[in-house]
Amino acid sequence: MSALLYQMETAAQNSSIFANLSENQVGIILTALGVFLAAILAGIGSMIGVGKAGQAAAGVVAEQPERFGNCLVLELLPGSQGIYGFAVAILILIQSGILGGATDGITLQRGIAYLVAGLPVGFGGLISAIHQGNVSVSGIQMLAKRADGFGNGMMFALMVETYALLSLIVSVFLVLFA
Amino acid sequence: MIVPMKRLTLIGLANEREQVLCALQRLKAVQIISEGQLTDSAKLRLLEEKVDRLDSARKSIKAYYKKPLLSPTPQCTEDQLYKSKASGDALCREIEGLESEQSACKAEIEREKALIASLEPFRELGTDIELIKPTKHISYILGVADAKAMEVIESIESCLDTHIGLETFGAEGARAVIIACQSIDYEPVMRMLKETGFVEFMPPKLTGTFSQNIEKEKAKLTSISERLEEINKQLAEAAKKRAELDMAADAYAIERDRAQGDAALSVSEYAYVLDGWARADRLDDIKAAIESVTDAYYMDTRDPLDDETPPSVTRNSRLIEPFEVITEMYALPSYRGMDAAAVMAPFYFLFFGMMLSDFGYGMLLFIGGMLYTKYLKPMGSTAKLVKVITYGGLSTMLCAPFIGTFFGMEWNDIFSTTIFPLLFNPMTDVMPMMFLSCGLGLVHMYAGIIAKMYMCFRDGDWQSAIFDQLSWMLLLTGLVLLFAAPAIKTAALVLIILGGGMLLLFSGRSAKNPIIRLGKGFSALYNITGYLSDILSYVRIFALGLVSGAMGMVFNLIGGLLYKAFGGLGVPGVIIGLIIAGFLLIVLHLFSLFINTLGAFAHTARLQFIEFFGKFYEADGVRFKPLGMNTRTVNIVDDAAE
Repeated sequence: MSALLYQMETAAQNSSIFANLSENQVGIILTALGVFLAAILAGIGSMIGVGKAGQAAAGVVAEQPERFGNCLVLELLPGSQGIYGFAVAILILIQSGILGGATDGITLQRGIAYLVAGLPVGFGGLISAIHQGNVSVSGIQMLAKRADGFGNGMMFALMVETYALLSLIVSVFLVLFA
Repeated sequence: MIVPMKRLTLIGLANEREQVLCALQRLKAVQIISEGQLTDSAKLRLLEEKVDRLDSARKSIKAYYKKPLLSPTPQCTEDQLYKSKASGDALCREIEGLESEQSACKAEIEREKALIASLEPFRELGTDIELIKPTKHISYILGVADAKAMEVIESIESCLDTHIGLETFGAEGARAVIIACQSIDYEPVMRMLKETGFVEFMPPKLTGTFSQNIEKEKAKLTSISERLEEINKQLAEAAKKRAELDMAADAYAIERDRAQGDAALSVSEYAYVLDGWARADRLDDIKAAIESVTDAYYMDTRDPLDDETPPSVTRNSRLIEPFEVITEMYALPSYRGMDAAAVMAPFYFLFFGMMLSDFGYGMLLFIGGMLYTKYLKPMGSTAKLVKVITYGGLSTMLCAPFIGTFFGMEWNDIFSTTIFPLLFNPMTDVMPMMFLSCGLGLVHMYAGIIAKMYMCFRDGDWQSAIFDQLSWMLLLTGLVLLFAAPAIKTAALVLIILGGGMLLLFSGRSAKNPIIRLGKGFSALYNITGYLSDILSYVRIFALGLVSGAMGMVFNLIGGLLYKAFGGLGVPGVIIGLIIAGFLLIVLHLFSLFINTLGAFAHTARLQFIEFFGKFYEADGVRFKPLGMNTRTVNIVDDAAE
C-alpha cells in the first residue's frame, strides 16, 4: 500500500495532469473512480447474467407460460451483484462526504483507499454475475423439462452468489475501515 | 415429524370395492401398491380418455379469455363436483365440435384464397372457363409470364416456324397469357417456356367467365369468414363457462385415480385384496371409513420390514406446517431419517427477518400475505409458500426495531429519539453485526449437530453421537471462547483439547491399525475448515441486511432530491414535486421490496440447505401418493357457503 501510495504521490507531482491539482482534488477524483468501478463493473456483470437468463426464460415461457414466475426468479438471481456494487458505490459516496458536499476530508490517501474499496465488489460482481447467469440459464432449461426443478436450479445459482457476497463484505470493510 | 407407516392388507367382497375405494379416497391416507401389472380395465381407459379430452378442450379455449392475474381458487362440495360432469361433458363436446368446424373453415378459407389468387390474372378474359379445353388440333396454354417468358413467347413463331394465337392481360412483368397453338406444337412450346420458369395454369373445372367465378368465390369466402367469426364468438361464449369444464376435468380425474387404484387391486370372482401403505396415525379413520360401507372385510397391518422403503410424509403443527414447503424444495426426508421442518422453522423465521430488516417492507409482506391467503385461497404448496412469506414479514417487523430501518429511514429521524436501533446500526457498527450473524450461525449449526446426535442415540449409536458430533461442539465452543473470552482461557483450552482429542483418537475407531486410525483422526480434524467456511457463510445475513437498508436509504435520497428540486418553484412546484417524488418512491420501494424479499427468501433457504441440512438431514424420501381427491382447479369443501 505504501509503495503504491509513494508511486501515486510521485506521479501526482510529476505528471502534467496532476501537476495543477491539489491532493484533495486528486483524492476526490480517485474516490469517484472507485464509485464508478464498483457500480459499473458489478453492473455489467449483472446485465450480462440477467440478459442471458432472460433470453433462456423467454424461450421456456413461450412454450410453458405457467413457468413465468419461477423463470423470473431464476432470471433475477444474477441481478443482485449489480445491486451490491450500487450499494458499495453509495456507501463510498456517503462515507467520503461527496453526498452531502463535505469533500474537504478526502486526502490523497483516502482517495486511494476508496478506489481500492470499490474493486472487490466490482470485479467479484462482474465475474460472479456472468457465471451465475450461466447457471441460471441451465436452471431455466432444467425447469422446462422438470416442473419441480425450481428449488434445485435456484440453489445451484445461489452457490455462485456466495462469492459476490464475500466481495461485497470486503468492499464494505474497506470503505468503513481502510 | 415423519408419520410412521404401516403395511396394510385389506380383503373384502369384490362387489363392494368401489364404495370402499370411495371412502378411502376421501381420507387420503392409503397409498395402494400393485404387485406387478395393473389390471387392464375398460373403465380406466375410458376415464383417462375423458380427462384427456376435457384437458385439451380446456387448453383450446385458453385463447378466448384472459385469466386475471390474481383470482381466488373456486370452492365446491364433492356433490357439486360430481354433478358438474354432465354439463362439463356437454360443454366439452360443444367445444370439440366448434373446434373441428373452426379448422375446417380455416382450411376452406385458405383454399378459396388460393383459388381466387389463381383466377385473378385472367379476370379480363371474357371466355367461359369450361370452353378452354383442347380440341383435336388446337391446344391452349394458360399462365402468368414474367418479362423473360414474354420474350420467349414472342419468339415462338420464328423459332418453331409455326403460328400461335396469343392474348395477354394485366401489367408488364406479370402478364397473364393464353396461348393457342397446334396440338403438335404443344410439347416444343412448353419445353421452351419451362426453361424460363413458366408454370402452366390448368383452368379448374368451373363454368362461367373468370370474373363471374372470382365474384362467386369471393362471396363464398365472405360467408365462410363470417361463419368463422361466428364460431370464434361461440368459443368465447363457451370459454365463459370454463369453470364447469375445470370442475368436470377434476371430477373425472378423481374417478380416474379411483379406477387406477381399482386396477391395482388383486380381484377374484368374489373377493379383492388391497395392498398398500397406510398412515399409522389414521388407522382408526381408515377402519371407520371401511366400516361405514361394509362389515365384511379383513384388515391386517404390520410395521415396514427393514428392506422396505415406506413413503415419507410429514406432519407438523399448523404453525410449523408451512415450512414443510422449504424442506420439500430441498428433498423429502428419508423415512428413517428426521423431519427438519420443526427444527428449521425458528431459524428460518429469524434469518429472514434479519436479512430483510426493514419494518415497512416487513409490514407490506405481512399484510399482503394475509390478504392473499384470505381472498385468493391458494392451494397446496402455494398456500404454504405464501404463509412462509407472511411469517417472514412478521419476523422482519420484529427484527427491524433492533437492527433495521423503516422504509429505508432511520427510526430516530422519524420518532425524534436516540434509542433506535435497539441493538445496533449495522451500517456503522459493522463488527458487532458480523459477530451477531456468525454467532447465530454457530447456534444454527449446533442445532444441526444436536439433531444428528439425537438421531444417533435413537438408532443406538452412542459412539457416533459422542465422538463424531459432540466432539465438534466442544472443539468449536472452545475455539470461540479462546477468542471471545480470553479471561477463561484455561476452560477454553480444556474444551479444545477434549473435543480435538476425541476427534483425533476416535474418528477412525473402525480401523484396527493404530497408525491408520490416527491418520483418519487427522483427516477428520481437517474438517475444521469446513466448519469455518460454514460459519463465515452466515455473514450473508449481515450483508443482505446492509443491502436492503442501503437501497431503501438511497431511494429516499433520490426522492428527497427530486422533491427539493421542485420545491424552489413555489406552491405548484411543491405539489408537482410531491406527486412525482411520491410516485417514484412507491415504485422504487416496491422494486426494493421485491428484490430484497427474493434475496432474503433464497439466502435463508440456502443457509438451511447447505449449512444446516448438511449436518444431519437425510434426504432420500419417497413421496407418499395416497389415493385422494386431488383437484387441480377447485378446493373441495364440506359445504360451499357461496
